[in-house]
Amino acid sequence: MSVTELIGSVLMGLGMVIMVLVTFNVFRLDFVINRMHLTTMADSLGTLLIFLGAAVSKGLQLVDLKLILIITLQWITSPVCGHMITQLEYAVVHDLREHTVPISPEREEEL
Amino acid sequence: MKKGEIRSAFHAFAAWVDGEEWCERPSEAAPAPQPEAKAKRPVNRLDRYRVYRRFTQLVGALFCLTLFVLLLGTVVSLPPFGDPANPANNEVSRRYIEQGLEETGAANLVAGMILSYRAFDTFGESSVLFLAATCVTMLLRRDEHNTTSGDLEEMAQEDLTSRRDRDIILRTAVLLLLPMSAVVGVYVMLFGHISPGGGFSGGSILGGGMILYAQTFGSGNVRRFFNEHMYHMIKVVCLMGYGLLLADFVYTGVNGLPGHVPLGTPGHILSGGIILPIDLLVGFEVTCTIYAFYALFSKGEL
Repeated sequence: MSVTELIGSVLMGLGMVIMVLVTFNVFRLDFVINRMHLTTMADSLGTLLIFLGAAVSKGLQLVDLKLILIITLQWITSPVCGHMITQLEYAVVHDLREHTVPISPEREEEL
Repeated sequence: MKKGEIRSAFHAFAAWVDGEEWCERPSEAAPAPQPEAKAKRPVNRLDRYRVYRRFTQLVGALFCLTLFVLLLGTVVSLPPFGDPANPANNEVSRRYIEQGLEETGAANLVAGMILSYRAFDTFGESSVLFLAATCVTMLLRRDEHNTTSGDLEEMAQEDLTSRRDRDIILRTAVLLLLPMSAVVGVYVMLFGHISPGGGFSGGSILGGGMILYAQTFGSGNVRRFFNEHMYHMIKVVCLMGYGLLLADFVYTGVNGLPGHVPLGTPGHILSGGIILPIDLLVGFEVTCTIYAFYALFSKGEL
Protein backbone atom coordinates (compact mmCIF):
# COMPACT_ATOMS: atom_id res chain seq x y z
CA MET A 1 0.00 0.00 0.00
CA SER A 2 1.51 3.27 -1.07
CA VAL A 3 1.42 6.52 0.87
CA THR A 4 -1.27 8.09 -1.30
CA GLU A 5 -3.52 5.08 -0.88
CA LEU A 6 -3.05 5.25 2.88
CA ILE A 7 -3.92 8.96 2.99
CA GLY A 8 -6.88 8.38 0.72
CA SER A 9 -8.29 5.53 2.78
CA VAL A 10 -7.88 7.55 5.99
CA LEU A 11 -9.81 10.44 4.43
CA MET A 12 -12.53 8.15 3.12
CA GLY A 13 -12.78 6.45 6.52
CA LEU A 14 -13.21 9.82 8.21
CA GLY A 15 -15.92 10.73 5.74
CA MET A 16 -17.73 7.47 6.39
CA VAL A 17 -17.50 8.00 10.16
CA ILE A 18 -19.15 11.38 9.70
CA MET A 19 -21.88 9.86 7.53
CA VAL A 20 -22.64 7.13 10.09
CA LEU A 21 -22.70 9.61 12.98
CA VAL A 22 -25.08 11.86 11.06
CA THR A 23 -27.36 8.97 10.13
CA PHE A 24 -27.82 7.94 13.75
CA ASN A 25 -28.09 11.42 15.14
CA VAL A 26 -30.71 12.49 12.62
CA PHE A 27 -33.00 10.03 14.39
CA ARG A 28 -31.91 11.27 17.80
CA LEU A 29 -32.88 14.88 17.25
CA ASP A 30 -36.55 15.69 16.85
CA PHE A 31 -36.74 19.09 15.18
CA VAL A 32 -36.15 19.99 11.57
CA ILE A 33 -33.64 22.76 12.07
CA ASN A 34 -31.59 20.68 14.49
CA ARG A 35 -31.60 17.87 11.96
CA MET A 36 -30.66 20.31 9.20
CA HIS A 37 -27.61 21.24 11.24
CA LEU A 38 -26.45 17.61 10.91
CA THR A 39 -27.52 16.69 7.40
CA THR A 40 -25.88 19.70 5.81
CA MET A 41 -22.69 18.62 7.55
CA ALA A 42 -22.98 15.19 5.93
CA ASP A 43 -23.63 16.76 2.54
CA SER A 44 -20.67 19.09 2.68
CA LEU A 45 -17.98 17.68 4.96
CA GLY A 46 -18.75 13.99 4.47
CA THR A 47 -18.82 14.13 0.67
CA LEU A 48 -15.77 16.39 0.65
CA LEU A 49 -13.75 13.88 2.66
CA ILE A 50 -14.93 10.86 0.66
CA PHE A 51 -14.34 12.41 -2.76
CA LEU A 52 -11.03 13.89 -1.63
CA GLY A 53 -9.97 10.45 -0.43
CA ALA A 54 -10.98 8.95 -3.78
CA ALA A 55 -9.02 11.65 -5.61
CA VAL A 56 -5.89 11.28 -3.48
CA SER A 57 -5.77 7.50 -3.35
CA LYS A 58 -4.60 6.92 -6.93
CA GLY A 59 -2.28 9.90 -7.23
CA LEU A 60 -2.66 12.66 -9.81
CA GLN A 61 -5.05 11.70 -12.60
CA LEU A 62 -7.51 13.30 -14.96
CA VAL A 63 -10.36 11.82 -12.93
CA ASP A 64 -9.35 14.06 -10.03
CA LEU A 65 -10.63 17.07 -11.96
CA LYS A 66 -14.04 15.45 -12.28
CA LEU A 67 -14.09 14.68 -8.57
CA ILE A 68 -13.18 18.28 -7.76
CA LEU A 69 -16.01 19.41 -10.06
CA ILE A 70 -18.41 17.14 -8.18
CA ILE A 71 -17.23 18.60 -4.87
CA THR A 72 -17.69 22.14 -6.18
CA LEU A 73 -21.22 21.48 -7.41
CA GLN A 74 -22.09 19.73 -4.18
CA TRP A 75 -20.77 22.66 -2.17
CA ILE A 76 -22.77 25.14 -4.23
CA THR A 77 -26.07 23.26 -4.20
CA SER A 78 -26.33 21.48 -0.90
CA PRO A 79 -25.81 24.43 1.51
CA VAL A 80 -28.30 26.47 -0.52
CA CYS A 81 -30.77 23.61 -0.28
CA GLY A 82 -30.35 23.43 3.49
CA HIS A 83 -30.66 27.20 3.69
CA MET A 84 -33.96 27.16 1.79
CA ILE A 85 -35.47 24.38 3.90
CA THR A 86 -34.45 26.18 7.07
CA GLN A 87 -35.91 29.45 5.78
CA LEU A 88 -39.20 27.72 5.12
CA GLU A 89 -39.21 26.18 8.57
CA TYR A 90 -38.36 29.54 10.14
CA ALA A 91 -41.26 31.13 8.33
CA VAL A 92 -43.77 28.41 9.19
CA VAL A 93 -42.99 27.29 12.75
CA HIS A 94 -44.27 29.67 15.42
CA ASP A 95 -42.69 28.30 18.60
CA LEU A 96 -39.07 28.08 17.54
CA ARG A 97 -37.86 28.62 21.11
CA GLU A 98 -39.34 25.37 22.30
CA HIS A 99 -36.95 23.49 20.09
CA THR A 100 -33.78 25.47 20.54
CA VAL A 101 -31.30 25.53 23.39
CA PRO A 102 -32.56 27.75 26.26
CA ILE A 103 -30.84 31.09 26.48
CA SER A 104 -29.96 33.13 29.52
CA PRO A 105 -32.69 35.39 31.05
CA GLU A 106 -30.77 38.62 30.33
CA ARG A 107 -30.54 37.73 26.64
CA GLU A 108 -34.22 36.81 26.69
CA GLU A 109 -35.09 40.27 27.94
CA GLU A 110 -33.07 41.88 25.18
CA LEU A 111 -35.02 39.91 22.59
CA MET B 1 -23.70 -12.66 26.43
CA LYS B 2 -27.05 -14.20 27.18
CA LYS B 3 -30.15 -13.80 25.07
CA GLY B 4 -31.89 -11.37 27.42
CA GLU B 5 -28.82 -9.19 27.69
CA ILE B 6 -28.50 -8.90 23.93
CA ARG B 7 -32.14 -8.00 23.76
CA SER B 8 -31.95 -5.31 26.42
CA ALA B 9 -28.79 -3.92 24.85
CA PHE B 10 -30.60 -3.74 21.54
CA HIS B 11 -33.53 -1.95 23.18
CA ALA B 12 -31.18 0.52 24.82
CA PHE B 13 -29.51 1.17 21.49
CA ALA B 14 -32.86 1.65 19.77
CA ALA B 15 -33.90 4.05 22.53
CA TRP B 16 -30.65 5.95 22.05
CA VAL B 17 -31.22 6.18 18.31
CA ASP B 18 -34.79 7.35 18.86
CA GLY B 19 -33.48 10.05 21.20
CA GLU B 20 -35.86 9.06 23.97
CA GLU B 21 -33.91 10.77 26.72
CA TRP B 22 -34.38 14.00 24.72
CA CYS B 23 -38.01 13.78 23.78
CA GLU B 24 -39.69 12.10 26.71
CA ARG B 25 -38.09 13.64 29.75
CA PRO B 26 -41.35 14.13 31.68
CA SER B 27 -42.30 10.45 31.48
CA GLU B 28 -39.42 9.51 33.81
CA ALA B 29 -41.15 11.17 36.73
CA ALA B 30 -44.16 8.87 36.65
CA PRO B 31 -43.23 5.25 36.03
CA ALA B 32 -46.58 3.66 35.45
CA PRO B 33 -47.34 0.40 37.34
CA GLN B 34 -48.87 -1.08 34.25
CA PRO B 35 -48.97 -4.88 34.81
CA GLU B 36 -51.51 -4.73 37.68
CA ALA B 37 -53.65 -2.20 35.90
CA LYS B 38 -53.69 -4.33 32.82
CA ALA B 39 -54.66 -7.47 34.73
CA LYS B 40 -57.70 -5.74 36.23
CA ARG B 41 -59.06 -4.34 33.04
CA PRO B 42 -61.01 -6.48 30.58
CA VAL B 43 -59.77 -6.83 27.03
CA ASN B 44 -59.99 -3.34 25.55
CA ARG B 45 -59.09 -1.77 22.26
CA LEU B 46 -55.48 -1.07 23.23
CA ASP B 47 -54.84 -4.72 24.09
CA ARG B 48 -56.49 -5.82 20.92
CA TYR B 49 -54.31 -3.41 19.03
CA ARG B 50 -51.22 -4.90 20.71
CA VAL B 51 -52.25 -8.41 19.69
CA TYR B 52 -52.97 -7.18 16.20
CA ARG B 53 -49.60 -5.50 16.00
CA ARG B 54 -47.80 -8.63 17.16
CA PHE B 55 -49.74 -10.63 14.57
CA THR B 56 -48.90 -8.25 11.71
CA GLN B 57 -45.27 -8.22 12.76
CA LEU B 58 -45.20 -12.01 12.66
CA VAL B 59 -46.93 -12.21 9.30
CA GLY B 60 -44.70 -9.50 7.89
CA ALA B 61 -41.56 -11.28 9.04
CA LEU B 62 -42.79 -14.58 7.57
CA PHE B 63 -43.67 -12.89 4.28
CA CYS B 64 -40.30 -11.20 4.05
CA LEU B 65 -38.50 -14.45 4.86
CA THR B 66 -40.45 -16.36 2.20
CA LEU B 67 -39.78 -13.68 -0.38
CA PHE B 68 -36.12 -13.63 0.58
CA VAL B 69 -35.76 -17.39 0.15
CA LEU B 70 -37.68 -17.40 -3.14
CA LEU B 71 -35.69 -14.55 -4.65
CA LEU B 72 -32.36 -15.98 -3.51
CA GLY B 73 -33.33 -19.34 -5.00
CA THR B 74 -34.09 -17.63 -8.29
CA VAL B 75 -30.77 -15.82 -8.21
CA VAL B 76 -28.96 -19.13 -7.71
CA SER B 77 -30.63 -20.63 -10.76
CA LEU B 78 -29.89 -17.64 -13.02
CA PRO B 79 -27.36 -18.20 -15.82
CA PRO B 80 -23.83 -17.17 -14.82
CA PHE B 81 -22.76 -13.60 -15.52
CA GLY B 82 -20.72 -13.12 -18.69
CA ASP B 83 -21.11 -16.66 -19.98
CA PRO B 84 -21.06 -16.71 -23.81
CA ALA B 85 -23.66 -19.48 -23.80
CA ASN B 86 -26.27 -17.30 -22.10
CA PRO B 87 -29.62 -16.94 -23.87
CA ALA B 88 -29.14 -13.16 -24.11
CA ASN B 89 -26.10 -13.64 -26.36
CA ASN B 90 -28.00 -14.52 -29.52
CA GLU B 91 -27.57 -13.41 -33.10
CA VAL B 92 -29.36 -10.09 -32.46
CA SER B 93 -26.84 -8.75 -29.98
CA ARG B 94 -24.01 -10.22 -32.04
CA ARG B 95 -25.26 -8.29 -35.04
CA TYR B 96 -25.51 -5.08 -32.99
CA ILE B 97 -21.97 -5.45 -31.71
CA GLU B 98 -20.33 -6.55 -34.94
CA GLN B 99 -22.09 -4.37 -37.50
CA GLY B 100 -23.72 -1.64 -35.40
CA LEU B 101 -20.92 0.86 -35.96
CA GLU B 102 -20.91 0.65 -39.74
CA GLU B 103 -24.67 0.34 -40.13
CA THR B 104 -25.67 3.22 -37.85
CA GLY B 105 -22.51 5.33 -37.75
CA ALA B 106 -22.94 5.94 -34.01
CA ALA B 107 -19.96 5.45 -31.72
CA ASN B 108 -22.39 5.04 -28.82
CA LEU B 109 -23.88 1.67 -29.59
CA VAL B 110 -26.86 2.13 -27.29
CA ALA B 111 -27.91 5.28 -29.15
CA GLY B 112 -27.47 3.41 -32.41
CA MET B 113 -29.70 0.67 -31.13
CA ILE B 114 -32.57 2.74 -29.73
CA LEU B 115 -32.62 5.47 -32.40
CA SER B 116 -31.71 3.53 -35.51
CA TYR B 117 -32.54 -0.16 -35.23
CA ARG B 118 -35.41 0.44 -32.85
CA ALA B 119 -36.39 3.97 -33.80
CA PHE B 120 -39.99 2.91 -34.12
CA ASP B 121 -40.06 1.80 -30.48
CA THR B 122 -38.59 5.13 -29.37
CA PHE B 123 -41.18 6.91 -31.48
CA GLY B 124 -43.81 5.14 -29.40
CA GLU B 125 -42.12 6.36 -26.23
CA SER B 126 -42.15 9.95 -27.49
CA SER B 127 -45.82 9.59 -28.33
CA VAL B 128 -46.46 8.35 -24.80
CA LEU B 129 -44.76 11.48 -23.46
CA PHE B 130 -46.84 13.64 -25.78
CA LEU B 131 -50.06 11.94 -24.71
CA ALA B 132 -49.14 12.17 -21.02
CA ALA B 133 -48.47 15.89 -21.29
CA THR B 134 -51.72 16.37 -23.20
CA CYS B 135 -53.70 14.50 -20.55
CA VAL B 136 -52.09 16.51 -17.77
CA THR B 137 -52.97 19.69 -19.63
CA MET B 138 -56.56 18.54 -20.03
CA LEU B 139 -56.92 17.62 -16.37
CA LEU B 140 -55.02 20.36 -14.60
CA ARG B 141 -55.31 23.43 -16.78
CA ARG B 142 -57.02 26.28 -15.03
CA ASP B 143 -60.04 27.96 -16.63
CA GLU B 144 -63.18 29.75 -15.44
CA HIS B 145 -64.96 26.49 -14.57
CA ASN B 146 -62.53 25.19 -11.98
CA THR B 147 -61.15 28.38 -10.50
CA THR B 148 -62.76 30.52 -7.83
CA SER B 149 -61.87 34.11 -7.06
CA GLY B 150 -60.35 32.88 -3.80
CA ASP B 151 -57.85 30.78 -5.73
CA LEU B 152 -56.86 33.73 -7.84
CA GLU B 153 -56.44 35.92 -4.78
CA GLU B 154 -54.29 33.30 -3.12
CA MET B 155 -52.09 33.00 -6.16
CA ALA B 156 -51.70 36.75 -6.45
CA GLN B 157 -50.72 36.84 -2.78
CA GLU B 158 -48.13 34.12 -3.34
CA ASP B 159 -46.73 35.97 -6.34
CA LEU B 160 -46.45 39.14 -4.31
CA THR B 161 -44.70 37.33 -1.46
CA SER B 162 -42.22 35.63 -3.75
CA ARG B 163 -41.47 38.89 -5.52
CA ARG B 164 -40.95 40.74 -2.26
CA ASP B 165 -38.90 38.14 -0.37
CA ARG B 166 -36.39 37.13 -2.96
CA ASP B 167 -33.63 35.17 -1.36
CA ILE B 168 -30.22 36.54 -2.34
CA ILE B 169 -28.40 33.28 -1.57
CA LEU B 170 -30.70 31.19 -3.72
CA ARG B 171 -30.62 33.69 -6.57
CA THR B 172 -26.83 33.84 -6.60
CA ALA B 173 -26.51 30.06 -6.57
CA VAL B 174 -29.10 29.65 -9.33
CA LEU B 175 -27.42 32.29 -11.49
CA LEU B 176 -24.19 30.35 -11.00
CA LEU B 177 -25.73 26.97 -11.82
CA LEU B 178 -28.20 27.82 -14.56
CA PRO B 179 -25.70 28.39 -17.41
CA MET B 180 -23.92 25.19 -16.44
CA SER B 181 -27.10 23.14 -16.49
CA ALA B 182 -28.14 24.61 -19.87
CA VAL B 183 -24.73 23.87 -21.40
CA VAL B 184 -24.65 20.36 -19.97
CA GLY B 185 -28.16 19.67 -21.23
CA VAL B 186 -27.39 20.80 -24.78
CA TYR B 187 -24.08 18.92 -24.69
CA VAL B 188 -25.75 15.69 -23.61
CA MET B 189 -28.32 16.09 -26.39
CA LEU B 190 -25.76 16.89 -29.10
CA PHE B 191 -23.31 14.14 -28.16
CA GLY B 192 -25.92 11.43 -27.65
CA HIS B 193 -24.57 9.37 -30.53
CA ILE B 194 -20.93 9.65 -29.41
CA SER B 195 -20.96 9.41 -25.62
CA PRO B 196 -23.56 8.26 -23.09
CA GLY B 197 -26.56 10.54 -23.10
CA GLY B 198 -29.20 11.38 -25.65
CA GLY B 199 -32.44 13.20 -26.03
CA PHE B 200 -34.23 11.93 -22.94
CA SER B 201 -31.45 12.65 -20.45
CA GLY B 202 -30.42 15.95 -22.04
CA GLY B 203 -34.02 17.11 -22.13
CA SER B 204 -34.45 16.22 -18.48
CA ILE B 205 -31.42 18.33 -17.57
CA LEU B 206 -32.70 21.30 -19.58
CA GLY B 207 -36.19 20.94 -18.12
CA GLY B 208 -34.75 20.77 -14.61
CA GLY B 209 -32.87 24.00 -15.29
CA MET B 210 -36.08 25.66 -16.43
CA ILE B 211 -37.89 24.49 -13.30
CA LEU B 212 -35.08 25.93 -11.19
CA TYR B 213 -35.36 29.25 -13.01
CA ALA B 214 -39.13 29.34 -12.62
CA GLN B 215 -38.88 28.53 -8.91
CA THR B 216 -36.35 31.26 -8.25
CA PHE B 217 -37.42 34.10 -10.51
CA GLY B 218 -41.12 33.33 -10.93
CA SER B 219 -43.09 31.87 -13.81
CA GLY B 220 -43.61 35.31 -15.32
CA ASN B 221 -39.96 35.49 -16.29
CA VAL B 222 -40.16 32.08 -17.96
CA ARG B 223 -43.23 33.21 -19.90
CA ARG B 224 -41.10 35.85 -21.60
CA PHE B 225 -39.31 33.22 -23.65
CA PHE B 226 -41.55 30.17 -23.26
CA ASN B 227 -45.30 30.69 -23.33
CA GLU B 228 -48.14 28.31 -23.99
CA HIS B 229 -48.27 28.95 -27.73
CA MET B 230 -44.59 28.12 -28.02
CA TYR B 231 -45.03 25.03 -25.90
CA HIS B 232 -47.66 23.59 -28.23
CA MET B 233 -45.63 24.58 -31.29
CA ILE B 234 -42.46 22.88 -30.04
CA LYS B 235 -44.24 19.73 -28.95
CA VAL B 236 -46.17 19.22 -32.17
CA VAL B 237 -43.30 20.19 -34.47
CA CYS B 238 -40.85 17.92 -32.62
CA LEU B 239 -43.10 14.89 -32.69
CA MET B 240 -44.08 15.46 -36.30
CA GLY B 241 -40.47 15.96 -37.31
CA TYR B 242 -39.52 12.73 -35.61
CA GLY B 243 -42.34 10.89 -37.34
CA LEU B 244 -41.43 12.25 -40.78
CA LEU B 245 -37.73 11.49 -40.31
CA LEU B 246 -38.56 7.99 -39.16
CA ALA B 247 -40.94 7.39 -42.06
CA ASP B 248 -38.29 8.54 -44.50
CA PHE B 249 -35.73 6.30 -42.82
CA VAL B 250 -37.99 3.28 -42.75
CA TYR B 251 -38.92 3.56 -46.42
CA THR B 252 -35.47 4.35 -47.77
CA GLY B 253 -32.71 3.40 -45.39
CA VAL B 254 -33.61 0.36 -43.34
CA ASN B 255 -33.01 -3.33 -44.05
CA GLY B 256 -29.93 -2.85 -46.17
CA LEU B 257 -31.51 -0.38 -48.56
CA PRO B 258 -29.21 2.54 -49.40
CA GLY B 259 -30.39 5.52 -47.34
CA HIS B 260 -29.80 9.08 -48.44
CA VAL B 261 -28.93 10.39 -44.97
CA PRO B 262 -25.11 10.23 -44.88
CA LEU B 263 -23.72 8.27 -41.94
CA GLY B 264 -20.51 10.28 -41.65
CA THR B 265 -17.36 9.31 -39.77
CA PRO B 266 -18.15 7.59 -36.47
CA GLY B 267 -17.00 9.74 -33.56
CA HIS B 268 -17.49 13.08 -35.32
CA ILE B 269 -20.38 15.24 -34.26
CA LEU B 270 -22.04 15.17 -37.68
CA SER B 271 -22.40 11.43 -37.89
CA GLY B 272 -24.90 8.73 -37.16
CA GLY B 273 -27.42 9.56 -39.86
CA ILE B 274 -30.80 10.34 -38.33
CA ILE B 275 -29.66 9.88 -34.72
CA LEU B 276 -28.50 13.45 -34.13
CA PRO B 277 -31.67 15.23 -35.39
CA ILE B 278 -33.87 12.73 -33.59
CA ASP B 279 -31.92 13.26 -30.37
CA LEU B 280 -32.45 17.01 -30.65
CA LEU B 281 -36.18 16.67 -31.39
CA VAL B 282 -36.73 14.22 -28.54
CA GLY B 283 -34.67 16.43 -26.23
CA PHE B 284 -36.79 19.51 -26.86
CA GLU B 285 -39.97 17.54 -26.45
CA VAL B 286 -38.80 16.11 -23.12
CA THR B 287 -37.82 19.61 -21.97
CA CYS B 288 -41.31 20.89 -22.78
CA THR B 289 -42.97 17.93 -21.09
CA ILE B 290 -40.99 18.21 -17.88
CA TYR B 291 -41.50 21.94 -17.55
CA ALA B 292 -45.20 21.60 -18.41
CA PHE B 293 -45.66 18.96 -15.72
CA TYR B 294 -44.11 21.29 -13.17
CA ALA B 295 -46.02 24.35 -14.27
CA LEU B 296 -49.40 22.63 -14.56
CA PHE B 297 -49.11 20.85 -11.24
CA SER B 298 -47.97 23.94 -9.34
CA LYS B 299 -49.87 26.78 -11.05
CA GLY B 300 -52.31 25.21 -13.48
CA GLU B 301 -51.03 27.22 -16.42
CA LEU B 302 -47.90 27.56 -18.46
